[in-house]
Amino acid sequence: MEWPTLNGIVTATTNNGSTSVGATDASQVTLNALNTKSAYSVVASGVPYVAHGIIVHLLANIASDTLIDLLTTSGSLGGLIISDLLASLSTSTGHYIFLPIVIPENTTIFARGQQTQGADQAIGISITFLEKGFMDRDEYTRITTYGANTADSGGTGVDPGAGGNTWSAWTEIVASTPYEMSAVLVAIGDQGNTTATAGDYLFEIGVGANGAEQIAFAGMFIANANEDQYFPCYIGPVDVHIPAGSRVTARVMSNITDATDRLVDFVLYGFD
Amino acid sequence: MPPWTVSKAPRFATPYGFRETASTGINISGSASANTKGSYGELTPATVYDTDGIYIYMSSDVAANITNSWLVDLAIGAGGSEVPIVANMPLTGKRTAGQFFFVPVTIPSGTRLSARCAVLNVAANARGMRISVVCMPRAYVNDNKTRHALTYTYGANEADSGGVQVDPGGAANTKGSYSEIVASTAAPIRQVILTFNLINNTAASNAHFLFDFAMGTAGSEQIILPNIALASASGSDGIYPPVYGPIPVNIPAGVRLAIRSQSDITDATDRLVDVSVIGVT
Repeated sequence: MEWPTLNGIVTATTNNGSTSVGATDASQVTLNALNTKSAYSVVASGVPYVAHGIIVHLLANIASDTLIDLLTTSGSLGGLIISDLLASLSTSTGHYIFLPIVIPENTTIFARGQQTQGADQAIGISITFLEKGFMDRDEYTRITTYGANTADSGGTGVDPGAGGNTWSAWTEIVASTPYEMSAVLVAIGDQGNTTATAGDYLFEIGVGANGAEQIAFAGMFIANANEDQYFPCYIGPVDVHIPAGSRVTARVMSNITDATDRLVDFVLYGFD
Repeated sequence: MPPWTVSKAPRFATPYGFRETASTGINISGSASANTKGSYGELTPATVYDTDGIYIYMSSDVAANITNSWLVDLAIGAGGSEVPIVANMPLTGKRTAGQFFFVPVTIPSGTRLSARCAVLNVAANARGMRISVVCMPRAYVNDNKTRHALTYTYGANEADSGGVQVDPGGAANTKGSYSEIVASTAAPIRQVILTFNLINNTAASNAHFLFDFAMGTAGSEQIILPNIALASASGSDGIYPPVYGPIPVNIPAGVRLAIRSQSDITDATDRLVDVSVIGVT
């Protein structure tokens, strides 16, 4: 479908309270210390149209893994967009996460977060709202988080083992998905490691019972270039069809064997 | 669409070019002549299934603390008759700096896939890189999606293995002038991928940036994607995220594309960012 380039142009809108993201930006969100969720902060005022997808931008100057909640209300999780969005951060980094989720018009978005360091930290968050004209795909109304670990602001840890370039055992992310996944976003973290060694990794996502895992995503590559985070940190959302009641797992191999630096966290976000 | 049974193939993503012996992809190298494409390295002689989207993973394979820049082609076709289906994907950074693209293109089963690259710094210990791909079959691609068969890369600068240089100017936190990416798009764009890199800056600063991606004639640009937020890092001489998208859009053929930026730094070198755009038709 073509939309006109002049009148009635369809554009995205980024709301973050400021056009400059930096130390004094109004969209700074406090990430509470020591794995405890902060109070809610407004990160974006609403737009006068139904958004059929949003892009979440993160800018940070802290080396820590974080978990972030995005909501449409400030008082409870009743207006939940996504809970425990894993963001692996380093001393200067940016991320974008595309969420094909429907947001009603004029909806304010709030955020809160937690991280591993001993003092509160700040992160810059902005939201780009996408009108229908942008969306050549299905949109969803629910995102379910699998494998987040609020005890350490991370995910489900997977150890490739000391063998080097050898697949680990499958590690369970979720024993039984409560809902069908029509799309999945994979988030990757380094367990808050601030002195990581450069290394290469392959990971796979499996579906199925213990001992009968079938590989859904094979040979996915990530790397750590001494930036205290993996690249890419996010894979997807990838359209899949994983039925409700499925057991989902992950396994990893790496070319480094250091007992700390080889560890990887995974959190999956199912869309339906 | 009903769920598929997990026990029945072929419904799974298929990797090519990855080496379990090294937890990475195949090695390819730029030519010994700067900014000249090297030989193709084969990822697979024949894809097993029809593909409707492809993940492309790249990382540098240089000696420690060397920063370099590559432009990478992913190609289809028999040896000696390769045709790029995604051209001039940039990779910049130090050792093991990783980059990945998801390009929603359709590739028939039985297709040979290969890759080649050009590199800026042609020292023998500086021009290698690794690449692997994961091909996503139709079951992974939403049935409501348009299938795509072509990509065009706009703004790549083969003279320095970079892109269009975007300068936010000397005033911090103030949008600079637009830089033209292309005067006229060759085809409609249904999915757009923006790429960013630091032009082989070997002493980058920690900094924040906001970019506006726009279309329209000079002086009448209309912003499509506003305030794309990125950060550069001194430790890796990289900018993050280096790849933005694919974002579904509807950009007609024959349209001028432009981009502008602002930064919280004013250093005349470190504030510069190279940008290119991959349009998926």
